[in-house]
Amino acid sequence: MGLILFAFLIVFFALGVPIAISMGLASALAIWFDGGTPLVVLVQRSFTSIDSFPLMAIPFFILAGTLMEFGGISKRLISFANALTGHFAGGLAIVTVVTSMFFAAISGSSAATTAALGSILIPAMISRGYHRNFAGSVQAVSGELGVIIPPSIPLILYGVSAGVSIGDLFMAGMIPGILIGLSLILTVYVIAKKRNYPREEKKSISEIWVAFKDAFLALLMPVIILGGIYGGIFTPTEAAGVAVAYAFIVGVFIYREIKIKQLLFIFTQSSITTSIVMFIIASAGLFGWILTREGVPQDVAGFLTGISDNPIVFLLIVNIFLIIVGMFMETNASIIILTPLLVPVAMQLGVDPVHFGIIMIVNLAIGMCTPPLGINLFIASEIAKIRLEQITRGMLPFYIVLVVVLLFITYIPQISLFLPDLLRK
Amino acid sequence: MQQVIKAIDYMNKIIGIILALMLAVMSILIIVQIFTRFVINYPLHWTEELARYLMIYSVFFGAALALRNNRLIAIEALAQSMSESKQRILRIFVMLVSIIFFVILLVQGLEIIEVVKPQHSAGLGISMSIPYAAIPIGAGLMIVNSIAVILESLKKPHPKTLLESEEL
Repeated sequence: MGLILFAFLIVFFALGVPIAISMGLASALAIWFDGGTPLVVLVQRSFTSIDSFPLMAIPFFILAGTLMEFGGISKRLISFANALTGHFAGGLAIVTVVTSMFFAAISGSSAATTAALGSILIPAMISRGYHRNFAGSVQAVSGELGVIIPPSIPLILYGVSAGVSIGDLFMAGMIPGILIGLSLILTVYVIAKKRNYPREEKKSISEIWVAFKDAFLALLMPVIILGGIYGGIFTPTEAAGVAVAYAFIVGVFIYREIKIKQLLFIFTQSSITTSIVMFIIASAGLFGWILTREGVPQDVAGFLTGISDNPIVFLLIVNIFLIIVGMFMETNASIIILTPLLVPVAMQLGVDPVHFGIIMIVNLAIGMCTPPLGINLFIASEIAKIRLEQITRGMLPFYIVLVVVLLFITYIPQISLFLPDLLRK
Repeated sequence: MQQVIKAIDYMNKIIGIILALMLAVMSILIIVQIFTRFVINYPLHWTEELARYLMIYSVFFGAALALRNNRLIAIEALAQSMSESKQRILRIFVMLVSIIFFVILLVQGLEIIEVVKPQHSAGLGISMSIPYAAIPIGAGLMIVNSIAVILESLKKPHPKTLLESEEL
């Protein structure tokens, strides 16, 4: 039955049948050929896999993100970052990374981060004389922080799928995210020095204060979300609900950038975006059920541990595998499919599942900036008006840095586990 | 043919409004839940359940609109390597394959509604057929929208929205 399942799945994927439909139909066909199990289990599994309170954080974080995109928050975060770091060599490029880190702390998606900031920052960099390839690639690579720095939609999916605390995962993503951000800043700085990219005017303390006050409500948001979760006040889902209320009040009543007319569009689009992710989860319900019943995770574990039962080698294989998957597959779909297959092996080899989640996310996030299928590259090259090959050329130095940081994150579990361990004590 | 597509898109517009309302109510429910738990210290047991069921409805309704706008995530390498006319044939084939899945969802969904009718939900105390009905209704909407996509592909190349189709 497992064989039929994967055969159909590969054929449907290759034909371009949407992933959610491929998974559901391949599972239904596998059950049907097998006989024995009534097909009604398909509907029952679809229902129960999305009938979940933790998953409800996804629509709320998506809605909060869209509200912020329309609510003038990006603009204010950019001015604040500019006041802080604009005067270094390559100031605007550094501002791009810093703002992406701030924005990532209120948004759970990389595409949203790239689109919301890139539309302002990429044209600004180009007009200040930065090379188009560089401007586009800086934004594309910074956008991936959106899913690593909490909140993060892929981390929620991983947590639900692996049965790991979403709060712990969010906390674990913090230091790796900051580490990646800092190494990107350093890379940008070195390149900018070499190419003599311009600095922005240095701001006085009082100007920085003004920019800070203006961005204060936006900066307060991650404090409320993360503080609420770790203070034990809210569940992640409730925190996401609070984020919605906060973004709504700030965008509509305080910054007054969201017009009432836009609200229908914002809510409908957020709801459709949610469906795109959650429809896959629903269809993956039966898929996962068949995998478990057929013992596929054990087979995968047997195969992988057959190559080597050394966790160092295992993690290296996983890294290479995930980077390749990330190049071709969308992140959320990859997490839903691969988590139940890989996590049991990781745990068997003594890898902490929280740490493993961060490894998966960082790998797949790199995949968002690699051709042929990298959402951040698509968005950034579209805004910078360059072709995929050109932006990829700009990406080369960043790839090297990302792989080095990835190896650190993979082999030093404390980078991920330090904060959640600290908070658990 | 044009009329059929127009009618389906009109229906989709209404579904879009329903989706927005459902998400708004979900947001309000979660805030009410936090409020009753903390502020008046009287936790309601039905808010979470109602929000969950609304989410299930919105997932299956929203998937129909995503399908119509070519926004469901798919691996599009094959289509991209093809000429435009072949792409249209592939697109129609993909929709026909999808319709098979939606029909299974519809038929089995109607069956499960009957099975779970006597069961009642823990919080609201409603029959479980009501939340489960999201699946056959959603499947029906997806069938209708697949037909709209097929009709449109028959007359002109489908607009490509690569940018929106991959991630959130």
